[in-house]
Amino acid sequence: MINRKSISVYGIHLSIEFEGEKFGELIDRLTKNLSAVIQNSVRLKKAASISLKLLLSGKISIPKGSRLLSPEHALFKVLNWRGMIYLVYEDSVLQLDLQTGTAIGYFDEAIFKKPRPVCYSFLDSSIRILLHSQGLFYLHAAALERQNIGYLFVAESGAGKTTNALHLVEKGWNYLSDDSVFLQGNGNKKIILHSIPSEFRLNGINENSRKHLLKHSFTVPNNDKHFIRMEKAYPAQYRKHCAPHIIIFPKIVNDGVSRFVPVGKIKALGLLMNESPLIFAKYHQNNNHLEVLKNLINQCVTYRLLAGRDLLHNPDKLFDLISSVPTTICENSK
Amino acid sequence: MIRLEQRFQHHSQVVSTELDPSEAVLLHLESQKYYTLNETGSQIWKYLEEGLNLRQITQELQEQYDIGSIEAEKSVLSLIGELESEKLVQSLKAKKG
Repeated sequence: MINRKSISVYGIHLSIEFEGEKFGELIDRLTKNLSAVIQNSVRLKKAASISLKLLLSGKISIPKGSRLLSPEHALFKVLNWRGMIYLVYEDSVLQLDLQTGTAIGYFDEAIFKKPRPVCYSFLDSSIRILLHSQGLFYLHAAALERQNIGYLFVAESGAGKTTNALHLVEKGWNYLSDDSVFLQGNGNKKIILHSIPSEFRLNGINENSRKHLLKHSFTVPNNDKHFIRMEKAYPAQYRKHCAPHIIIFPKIVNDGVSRFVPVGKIKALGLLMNESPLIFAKYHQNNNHLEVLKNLINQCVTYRLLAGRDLLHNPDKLFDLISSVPTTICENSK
Repeated sequence: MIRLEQRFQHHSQVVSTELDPSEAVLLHLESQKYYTLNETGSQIWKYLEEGLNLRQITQELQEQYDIGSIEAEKSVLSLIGELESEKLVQSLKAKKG
């Protein structure tokens, strides 16, 4: 039996066909997390669209000569072959056509017996790649908003994005994400950030001041982090979208004194490309992706946050430091 | 050896963007290295896209920057040599005649 669902994700039409009942709960959760809106099956005129077909029977072969894109420790393998992307988890395979924005997937019985996040992440990753094919570009960054000014904290894992983001939320800031957002150009070179809702993932909740978060958090096997359900802990502070004005690149240093240092455009673009990589060769969205990153740089003021030991001992200082960043420039960039 | 009659094209693995009129950034998708070009370099990059051969590019630079032919040739050949060694451009077969 084939079921169908049509949803709108950040203005992009997504149609999903799925075999049997097992996908239903996954898709419902995906719908909720992507802030999607259920639509009837009528396709919006002129809307960008992607489609996904999910099967429980069949086989998808990976072509010989496919190039492995994912690192060794990745949960799924990601392979590239002539404009097609393959996501592989054991015997389950998703084949994505970046040119047409369509995908077909075969989910082996075994994947449904794994912890729920595995199956969910497998499907979620395919949707994100398809959204990418329609001009929604992933950026590994924390995103927050305060007084209509959008802030991005862009850095590799372990540089303190979640720690900083949670501290600012506790000070009353609004949040989109502690880890990742979508970038979207709106046609006149302005860039909008879209939240990718998920839990804040924190290394331990030890301080007494954060004990109240324990009731809103959970842990998973083989993972040291606490997953904080922010929609429960700080429901009124969640934002789905915002316009970015300030990009901060945190870097942990051994110095005693933390400070902001302006970053030039080229350096900033290079740092952004690390966290929003263009990795697919001969891909029609590459130029658009690079243009979006460039427009993001032009829209924002960019700083390096050299985070020293003083922030470790006194996290409140982060709020003081950010408050000292000039906002007059931000006004001009709005 | 690079000759002025040669044409070059952007390598298929390279994407580029102009940060402002005086600076361009090139990204090599395979190596994930990025490169910057100054104003002259950005202008040469654009001329390559327009299909000019290196002699034509040299002539354009002479006019644009009011410099002598030797200086212009030296700039063009030096940059193209670097771009080719970094696999940012590829040589096309030179047209006869």
